[in-house]
Amino acid sequence: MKFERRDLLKLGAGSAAGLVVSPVPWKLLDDSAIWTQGHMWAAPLSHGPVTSAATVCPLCPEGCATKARLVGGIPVSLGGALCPAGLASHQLAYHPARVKEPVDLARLMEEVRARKGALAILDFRPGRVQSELYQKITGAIKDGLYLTLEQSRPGEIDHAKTVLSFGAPVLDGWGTPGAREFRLIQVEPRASRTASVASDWVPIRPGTEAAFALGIAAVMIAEKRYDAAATAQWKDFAAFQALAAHYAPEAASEISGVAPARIVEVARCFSQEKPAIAIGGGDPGGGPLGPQEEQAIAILNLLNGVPTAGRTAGKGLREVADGSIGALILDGSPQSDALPWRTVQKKLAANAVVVSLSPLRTGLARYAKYQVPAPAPFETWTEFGSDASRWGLTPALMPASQGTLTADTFLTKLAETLGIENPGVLDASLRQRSDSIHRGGRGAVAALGGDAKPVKEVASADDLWKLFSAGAVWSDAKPAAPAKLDGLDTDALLRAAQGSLRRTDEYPLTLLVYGWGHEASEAPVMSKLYEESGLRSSSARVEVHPATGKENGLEDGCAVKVETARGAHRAQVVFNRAVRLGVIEAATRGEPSILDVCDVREDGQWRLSAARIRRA
Amino acid sequence: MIPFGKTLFLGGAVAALSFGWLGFPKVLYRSQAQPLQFNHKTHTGEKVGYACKDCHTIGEDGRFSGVPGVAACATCHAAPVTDTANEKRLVEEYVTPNREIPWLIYSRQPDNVSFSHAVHVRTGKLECERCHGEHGKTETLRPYEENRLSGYSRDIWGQAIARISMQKGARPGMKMSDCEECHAEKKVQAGCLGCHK
Amino acid sequence: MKTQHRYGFVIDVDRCNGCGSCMIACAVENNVPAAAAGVNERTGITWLRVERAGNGRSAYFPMLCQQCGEHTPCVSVCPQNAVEADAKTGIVAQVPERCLGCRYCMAACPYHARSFNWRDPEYPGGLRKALNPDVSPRMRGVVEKCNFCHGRLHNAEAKAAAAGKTEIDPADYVPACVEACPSLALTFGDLADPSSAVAKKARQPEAFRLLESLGTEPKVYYRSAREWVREMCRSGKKEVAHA
Repeated sequence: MKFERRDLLKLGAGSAAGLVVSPVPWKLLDDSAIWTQGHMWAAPLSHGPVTSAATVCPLCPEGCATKARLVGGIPVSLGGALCPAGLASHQLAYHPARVKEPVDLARLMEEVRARKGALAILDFRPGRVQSELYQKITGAIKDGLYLTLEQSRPGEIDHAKTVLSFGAPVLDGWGTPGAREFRLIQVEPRASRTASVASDWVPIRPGTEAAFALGIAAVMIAEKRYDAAATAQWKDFAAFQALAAHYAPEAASEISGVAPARIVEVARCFSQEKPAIAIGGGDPGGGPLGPQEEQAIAILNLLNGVPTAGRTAGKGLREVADGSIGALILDGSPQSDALPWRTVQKKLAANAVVVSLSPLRTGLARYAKYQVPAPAPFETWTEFGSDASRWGLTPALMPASQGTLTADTFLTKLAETLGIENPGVLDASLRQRSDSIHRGGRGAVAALGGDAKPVKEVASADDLWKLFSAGAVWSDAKPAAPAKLDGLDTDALLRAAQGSLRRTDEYPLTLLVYGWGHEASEAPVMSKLYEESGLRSSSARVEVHPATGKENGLEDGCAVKVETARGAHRAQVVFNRAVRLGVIEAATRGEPSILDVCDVREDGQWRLSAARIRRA
Repeated sequence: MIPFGKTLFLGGAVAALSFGWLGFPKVLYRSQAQPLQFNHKTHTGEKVGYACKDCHTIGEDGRFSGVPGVAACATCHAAPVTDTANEKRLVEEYVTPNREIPWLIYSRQPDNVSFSHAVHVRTGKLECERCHGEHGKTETLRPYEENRLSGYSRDIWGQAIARISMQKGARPGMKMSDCEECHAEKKVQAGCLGCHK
Repeated sequence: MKTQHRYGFVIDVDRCNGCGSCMIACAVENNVPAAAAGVNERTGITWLRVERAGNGRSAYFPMLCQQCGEHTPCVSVCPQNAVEADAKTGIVAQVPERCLGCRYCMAACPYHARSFNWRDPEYPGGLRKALNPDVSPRMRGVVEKCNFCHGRLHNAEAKAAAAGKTEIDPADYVPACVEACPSLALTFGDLADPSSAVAKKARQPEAFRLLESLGTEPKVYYRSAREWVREMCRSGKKEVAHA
């Protein structure tokens, strides 16, 4: 019998009939459909146990308390009301710019040893126990420099009735603004987010903070609405009174652009609706207000009898000679302020070695030769609170990634390299701080998420240390001793009050920078779309008033070059009627950053630069 | 004498049917033994007397513990209580080093399914046996059969394609159509939102 | 359509400062992937997006799915029944599993509240293990939108069931954006419960809804004491801060 084609067909038909009543085709169809949906793309969800842990956001000194939700021991979200950076901070460990490569520690130390210049440690979060360790190390060698950024430290606003803020983003990223009841008078040249929702927005001309503050002071002095007891203790008060007399409302109005009646109104409100506090600092992305401006603001507080915290320990970059730093170590804590690299660079000697202790390759860390793979936020304990009235520790929430090097290990090696004996190990120093708090017997300590207990009731130093190691915060309700005001430099203050920017014919516009320099805001895991929606800008977009734009031959959305004496920056321009005439507003975030072309002045300010704008 | 043609037809049909019902499952499913053997009967029987809910707990927050972690075993098995080789492995490889046992879960649902044991057991008052069968009376854990294409367990086979229950007493399948059938029976509406993540 | 509950929002436009915490909290809660390079408002994924409107002193509007009540354009047009108005809670629930990606619903939605997955989700550097297990990630080719944090609703229901109750405790069901707002601008709750905070706020004269003339009867209310804000929304002209 031959096997013919018909037979094959019959065999085939039988098989087909059999297959159809078997699961094969149906199951294959179904499973293939499932396969296409699940195969290459699926991110399997963790099925680990769900727990929660009280913790503190590590990104800025505000130290907002939060409750982390962990799945299988990994934080997946932070609860409570935090700022946008804080809400995404647990994702920083997965940032694409995370430093993962091991660093050649031996070579690094060799370069430090062979340095031609001072060894400087730039501390971004002064006041910690870790800061004390930095100071011990730099203090033990003859060419050591302990540097800090010139940040002003905000006073306590939680119990204030009136807050007079000079540009500080009080309602945008400072704790939970919704829960606060004060009247906020926002003195700021920009229509910032805070200005939009403040009780009052005083739109001063850019750079006229000092004049405005002096105007307020003049009214308070003229109308005798100040705390005589507090001013009696200040030796320069008479000189200040003479100076302030030049800034009666009309004069202050001419410089700042605010109506005289308004200045009087603000002054009266500030001096009557107490407790009232004035805050300086300015927008963090724009960098510090100058020391004269800060002093004028501190004087306002003094007039109200409110003590203000002084400047943090450590030298500012301004006080360091150019080209004198041979080895620079950048502290790893998240930088709350942007800082133009140029300010640092000109202090470096030729072939200086720069080391970054940050876990991310963002901000200033980009310019470091050696990037130490440090633990990311939540992979290591965090120290928060930074002054004599608040301190705490929060433990790590998740295991550190492979290959990370802790600050402790690094500093021990550094001390060894520099030949410093017994500089103190970080753990031991933390323990010492805990012990000194116990000895002091003041204030109360609360486990994170728990109730406060007076320190006096903690039985032993060991018990207190146990509390801190598990995560606790100590606070002392007694206000800090009033800081001594620096000597009054009337000439400098007068100069500052004239308005701090000089425009020229070549550069007739004012470039005003703002924003978070915060590396957390650079995280794509925080959704770049957040930036592209226009909500948080980057340096890729600059904004001008439509009239300014047209005067300079621009169209809304066209490519432009913003030029200053320092260089040119390419961006896209957006017309915005909320921007003052003659001003270019730019956020500092992003690469390349507008900071690269900002003019850094002698008093350390970079928020205003004389500029021009051209079509690119 | 059956004509050759019909023989071929029938032969083909028989071959296809046998492949389809017998051979195909073996090919489609990858069989894996559980990392450790576990005898439910000894734990639920007279000597120890646990009920399902004593180890497979529903927390206060409503989350189901699933297969308990090694900490639950450690409460009694910190040291061997019998002399079986299997228990020795449990103690040495998992309890002592505090390592989680990588159980293979028969009834694992896809990630987009939101199934709440709390709602079905407490509010719905369903017995464990209704879906999971006589699992509590088994002496050994059967092998875990994983579908090579979809990645899911064979227990999820489902109503639409021949109902074959993988264990005694259990509902034959845990696919969406099976859920729908029970919901229709009990007249409980859930909507899409009720069951999907 | 009468439902047992009517979950809704009242958003205080006067309190919103445009910080965007709500956007981030939503993305974290719902496993929204990091935006790829070059996406914009139209091609990216934002279940909740804060829009800036106004002139000079701006008003900020968190825009999310308005959870239409009477007439739901997306439900009407979907060929797949991939979106359903839930009978119990009133939530207009998007079911990505059924979606075939025709994007008819995106065209139908007058609030532009829906996003499309142009690509498979990418979670950089190990972020996969830090995803929220209560919300399933979506694959490419499907539409997604705000579901009023259904993951949290499921958890609230499970918690109630574990305690032997049939109704959830309202305090257990708080969407991520509401929890995260530092300005306390978002209020959420059951509009069908006249004693709830959200129902009381929605009844205030300063409360309004967007595009009311379309008759969608959304369950998201906005409120502002500023007449210019209300007038802007009534007239439908969005006076943007750009030109």
